[in-house]
Amino acid sequence: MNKVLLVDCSAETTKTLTGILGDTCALSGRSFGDEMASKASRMVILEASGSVEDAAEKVSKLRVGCAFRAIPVIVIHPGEDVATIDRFLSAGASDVLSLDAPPGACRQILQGHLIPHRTPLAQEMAYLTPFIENTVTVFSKMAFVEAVFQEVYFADDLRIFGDISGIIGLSGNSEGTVAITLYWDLARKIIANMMKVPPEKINAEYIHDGAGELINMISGSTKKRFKGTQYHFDLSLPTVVVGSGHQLGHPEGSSIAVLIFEVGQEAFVLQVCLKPRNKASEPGASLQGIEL
Amino acid sequence: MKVLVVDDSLVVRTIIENTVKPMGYTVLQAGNGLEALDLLAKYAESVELVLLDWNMPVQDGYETIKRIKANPYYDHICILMVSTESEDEKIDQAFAAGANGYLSKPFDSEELAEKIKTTLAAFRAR
Repeated sequence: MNKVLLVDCSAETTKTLTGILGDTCALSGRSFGDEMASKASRMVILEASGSVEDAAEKVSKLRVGCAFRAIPVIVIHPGEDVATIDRFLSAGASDVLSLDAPPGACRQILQGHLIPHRTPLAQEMAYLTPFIENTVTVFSKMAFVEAVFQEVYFADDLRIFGDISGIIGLSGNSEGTVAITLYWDLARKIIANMMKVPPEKINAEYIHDGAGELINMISGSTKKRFKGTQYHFDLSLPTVVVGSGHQLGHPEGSSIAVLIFEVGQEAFVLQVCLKPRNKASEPGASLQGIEL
Repeated sequence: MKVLVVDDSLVVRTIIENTVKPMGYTVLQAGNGLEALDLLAKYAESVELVLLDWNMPVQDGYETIKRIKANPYYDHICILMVSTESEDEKIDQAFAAGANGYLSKPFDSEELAEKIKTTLAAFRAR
């Protein structure tokens, strides 16, 4: 059974949602709190009450609690005011749903969000594994912390809700992008460790610069592993994007591998979008050359 | 004596400076190859070592090596490349242009300090 967490849902809303999802999901309800363990759920549903800003703040915190997992955060809110819906979506909601809609339609929408994301095939892991290993090595060597790989899934259209992303464009035999996204606090700690100074000495300029250098090192050290394969690439200079809810562009029609890591209790994510120019070669077709 | 650290990343320049200063060097910093050449024009006599990134805006490390090595007044300067480019062809290319040593990122402080010592020792003994 899928675990669905209902947050701030009234008795009436809980009853309606139980009628819609109760046969396939285990629903549990609770009031909003700052320490919501959203990542243990398969879906989170928040009933928005009070001001839009207060509800958006809750959405934002629930999204952080998901720790970059592919967990839909659904906001129950009546009406179709576009500005309100946009506010919730930009805060991290996956969808905004009015229960005034017919139950069948609501069920279809919610069940759609429960469809799991695709996970990599064994041969796809062959080109993702070097990125995982080099991410761990870069964090260990440069920042003296253990980054532990947690899970990976593929997404076609992805909004990553972190505070800062370091992005590098790839060209050559393969084209695409690789990006690292972190929340501000973890980024500050990592950069402070790299520079061997206390976190309070780290300003925004250092964090921007450090995020770019992290992705530069991860991509650069991984590049060597793809020599002689369809996945080999050249690096561009890194760029950095700041702001929660930013969306990264990737080559059209390509899948984005979302690799989740944790440093202690804090998560960060690596997005790998690598598309061989030779389309006749399916992913995994010519991976024997990769040094694993 | 001085060490010139050339990297477009302020964080990397600081990491390198933290390693090089305890070795007794004064550190100059440049964010790209052109800035490095400007600093060398002023301080070349006292610069013993240039630590140089490859991929940088404005002027990259490879072009910078060639321009340093083309100037006979800079013959006393040892160049250690410190870069994410770690493929053999790139390393060979850097040495062919005149680099005296090569260290791939990521690195730890001990590796960097050791590479500086061995590269300088080989350069002085040539």
